[in-house]
Amino acid sequence: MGEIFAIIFGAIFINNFVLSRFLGICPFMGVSKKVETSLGMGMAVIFVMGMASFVTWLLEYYVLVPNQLEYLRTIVFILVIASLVQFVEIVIRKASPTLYQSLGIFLPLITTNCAVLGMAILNIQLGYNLFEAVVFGVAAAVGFTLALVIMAGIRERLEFVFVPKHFQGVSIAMIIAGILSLAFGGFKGMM
Amino acid sequence: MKEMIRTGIVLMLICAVAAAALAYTNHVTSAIIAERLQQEKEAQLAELFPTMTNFEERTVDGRSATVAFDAENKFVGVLAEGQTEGYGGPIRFNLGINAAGEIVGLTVVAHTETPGIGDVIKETWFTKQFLGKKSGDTFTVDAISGATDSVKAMETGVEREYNEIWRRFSDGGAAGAQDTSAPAFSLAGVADGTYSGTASGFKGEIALEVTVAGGKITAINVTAQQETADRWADAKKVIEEIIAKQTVQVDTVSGTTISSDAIIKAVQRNQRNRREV
Amino acid sequence: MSVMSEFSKGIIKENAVFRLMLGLCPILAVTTMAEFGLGMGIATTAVLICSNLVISLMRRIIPTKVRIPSFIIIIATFVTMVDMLLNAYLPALHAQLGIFVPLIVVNCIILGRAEAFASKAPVSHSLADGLGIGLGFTLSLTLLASVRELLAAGSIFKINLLGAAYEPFMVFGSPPGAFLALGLLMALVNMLSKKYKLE
Repeated sequence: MGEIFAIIFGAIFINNFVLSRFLGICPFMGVSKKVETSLGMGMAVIFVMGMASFVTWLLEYYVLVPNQLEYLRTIVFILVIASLVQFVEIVIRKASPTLYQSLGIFLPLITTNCAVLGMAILNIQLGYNLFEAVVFGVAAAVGFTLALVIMAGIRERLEFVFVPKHFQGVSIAMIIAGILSLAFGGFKGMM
Repeated sequence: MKEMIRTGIVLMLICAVAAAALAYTNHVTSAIIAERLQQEKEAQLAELFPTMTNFEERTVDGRSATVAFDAENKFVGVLAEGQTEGYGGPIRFNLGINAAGEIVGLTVVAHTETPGIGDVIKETWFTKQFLGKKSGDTFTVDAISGATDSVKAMETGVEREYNEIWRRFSDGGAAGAQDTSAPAFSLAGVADGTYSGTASGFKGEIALEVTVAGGKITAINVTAQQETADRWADAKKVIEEIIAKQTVQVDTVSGTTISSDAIIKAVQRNQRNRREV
Repeated sequence: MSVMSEFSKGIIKENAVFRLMLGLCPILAVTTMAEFGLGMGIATTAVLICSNLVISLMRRIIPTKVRIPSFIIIIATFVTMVDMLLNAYLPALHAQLGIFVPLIVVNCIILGRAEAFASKAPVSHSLADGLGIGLGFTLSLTLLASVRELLAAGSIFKINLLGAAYEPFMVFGSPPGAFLALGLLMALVNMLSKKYKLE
């Protein structure tokens, strides 16, 4: 139980995917202008990463390893993630049009979100078992969402303050992310 | 419909070409990578244990280590990986222990300690402090201001892992021995006939059939193997040598260490199996 | 547009990092030392040129409906090849770049160029485009990595420039420093490009 807690706490706070591992920076910068949209994106990522961690783990240990095809890992994982995203999109559109309206536009963006592929590869590199892999996948996505929502909250306030001309846009967002990353660094002492 | 078939064919062609390209690159590079890792390991072992002439991977109680032997097949030392929980995450290190139970080598292979503060643990001047320590010693080293947690993690980690490793491998890990302990190779009293044996090679099982007539190996027939083609051609020289010298104490062919080792092991096992029959 | 201008636009005017804000993950993650930045830049450029070339050659064969999966397969193939070659011939660099080598596959720059450019343009233009964008990306990575290495260790490409008396600015070697350094560099680039009217 302690190990599972360590995985969850580590993935959300200590080695936050965005602020410490630098995974998923593009959506972090692109979709963090409003809290509402960033929450939507976060939910979609949690959903996809939970499923992707499960599927890629099974593929690695039941298809790739027995056939000595580990070198095809990157290509197989990215194709699986891309098709998974498509599949999720179709299912959500059929099953719940309201959910689709809030999540739908984010789904295609997730394919090129390196957090998903990064999580799948990390799961293998860290040698997690199936349960740990899924926990890690979901916790990492929660960490991603947390960073995204905090960032969006700050950027909403930023609209009302004076930002020097040359710092406007991504530049100031990067500096805010740096300060956030410093703050998250404080969690390291907790383990 | 026609459109769909065309789409399918194009996609399939792309996949086939991609898979072929990758399989070829893998075929070329994997041998180089394996050879490099093997050489790195050999170089590291040779530095730690100067008298070492051969080594073997052994697993005792769920922990594997590389055990080194000298020319007389006497145990000279063991190299194993250990792990400890540092300030920023796990720290993995390689620990070398000689036959007297003294630490002769410590290298940090991976860590996530704070750069400029906790990462001193990977520096040679820091790890050097652990050298010479043995069972019963205190595993404390100089404290470093600002890096207390990282240093503590190394102290407790190295001590714990040292004890774990030494408990299992102080006798050379005999419990995990595979083949080097095999008795002198002799076919006296073996009935004529064909016997088969297997061992794992670089890419998969190598299966052999050994024909014995009048207490001598007359032929070794490889029934299955998946080794890299050009390297396998070199490794096969080992077979000719075994038949010529009637012994398994033959030199491996450089560049094909894993494949040639596998052949030798398969012949050895084969002989042992026979004895049990 | 001529082949030459396709090449040169990627270096400054359409610089992937500072103008298009693409490929931000690797630029933050691997820029602790100048040599890692350069290595990552070259690896990405190699993949970009190869994928642009192949996709441009096949642009009339690939059916529109399945073009994105086809692009992904082509890109992933080159990425895996680069991964294996790095592991075989430059193991130290491979170990340092780690997970970010396979992640070149999801670098938006490469898929972006495939979709927006190489799938529509002739081979010569696509090659020039790949080379230009790749060079711009490599320069950005090396620039940021040099700044960070200089501040955090007082050296560039491991050549000590600031002398032994320099008190290192540790934070630039760690994750927060990556964000701060890139944010400040972006502001500087904004200022310079306004001043010299590059817009």
